[in-house]
Amino acid sequence: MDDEPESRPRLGSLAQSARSKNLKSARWILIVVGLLNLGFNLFIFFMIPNLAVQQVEEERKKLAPGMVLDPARLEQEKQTFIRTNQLNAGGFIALGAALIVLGIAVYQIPVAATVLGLILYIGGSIITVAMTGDASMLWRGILIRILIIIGLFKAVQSAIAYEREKKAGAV
Amino acid sequence: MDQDNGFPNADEAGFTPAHEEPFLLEPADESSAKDVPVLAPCWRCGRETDVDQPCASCRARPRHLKVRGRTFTQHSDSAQPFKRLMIGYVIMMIPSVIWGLILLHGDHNLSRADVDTGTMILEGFDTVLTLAMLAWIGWLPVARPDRRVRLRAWLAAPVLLMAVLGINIVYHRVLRDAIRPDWMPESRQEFTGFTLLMIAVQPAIVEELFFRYLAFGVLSRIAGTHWGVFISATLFALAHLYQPLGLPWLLVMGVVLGYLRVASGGLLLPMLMHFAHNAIVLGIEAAR
Repeated sequence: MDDEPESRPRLGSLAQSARSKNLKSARWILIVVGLLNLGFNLFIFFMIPNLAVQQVEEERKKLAPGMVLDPARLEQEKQTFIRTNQLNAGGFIALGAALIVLGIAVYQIPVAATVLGLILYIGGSIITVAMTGDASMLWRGILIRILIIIGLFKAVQSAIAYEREKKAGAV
Repeated sequence: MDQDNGFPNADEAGFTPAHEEPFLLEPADESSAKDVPVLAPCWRCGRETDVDQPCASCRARPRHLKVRGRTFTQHSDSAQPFKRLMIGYVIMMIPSVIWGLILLHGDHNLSRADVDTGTMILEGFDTVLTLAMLAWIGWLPVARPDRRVRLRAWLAAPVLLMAVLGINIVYHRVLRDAIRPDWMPESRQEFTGFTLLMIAVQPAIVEELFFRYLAFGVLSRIAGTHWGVFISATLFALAHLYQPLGLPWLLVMGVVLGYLRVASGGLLLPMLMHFAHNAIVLGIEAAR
């Protein structure tokens, strides 16, 4: 991960060193968050059929004695549950993969990678709340989320200045 | 010129990116000639201007700060437009999240009138916010490409519109048939003046102003034309989070509208395309 390409200009000034440090932090943030997203949602993806069975059992327990569930309707609802949740999990797996790719590419396309990483991270957090309907998910780990967002924001500023210095050096 | 497509880039258009440091311009030595204009990037639009005169490009008044008896002139912080864009975008997302929570997880028996009222409030808020952002971020000129490129964009627009409509209809049909979720009922809309205004006119104007003018204008300056289109399309797709399964399709539409904005050199073509697309979809749903 520390193998910077030889074509990248050597950073002389303190300011450029600080920017490079911010970009390195951004790289690790994006890769770690991406891996966590990918891993967790892959697990969920394969656990969803079991979750569907558990949901059905819970619904059965709520029934009054003598009542039965329509098997055809039950099967349809179960398949809908599985397909919808696997689609959601698939979306977050794609998000995780995207964050990992952006983290790896942060030195090649610093501005685009950091900006897109920031937007996808904020967007992913908001969509999680919207999909689950649980607003408290936003507050869970709020301190870590804020630190990640601040880190990515600083990385965007550094990336803008880093690219400008690189272009100025190339001219 | 961008090497591959003839589109002029932001630097060629005359925009000079400001230096991030120093943020403040120190006053000239008092012994120097006072009639020599001192040029620095404008604090709002970033174009070089005389620090003691209103900006020749965006007419922003110069900002002078006094620090310990010395006067400094503020010039552009290159990341400032991006910070403002993100602040505005997050503020725009808040009511969208709330509305999304209501639509997806609230009472599924909301009446048409309730949905219309909610939509009206949300769109009113977005309109006011977009106008405020226009004033806050300022003017973001984008160079007009060659006349031939602009003509091709206008000629290609109807074909692109049909293609985009086709993808929309097929995508949502496949999604509904594959998933059939309770919370994704067949949409029933009436084709009235009100629905046309809410679904076709307002989004065409306000969303294009926010995403293809403000967002693209800011992002293309820091990340280039193509990344500017893609990232502004991502912002556009994420803003419709109350239609979460439609995000991939919205990303495609955002990219198409973004490139139409670049190729036509203005906002009229993407606005017309957006209006036409939404109006046709409304007509199809009303006719069902």
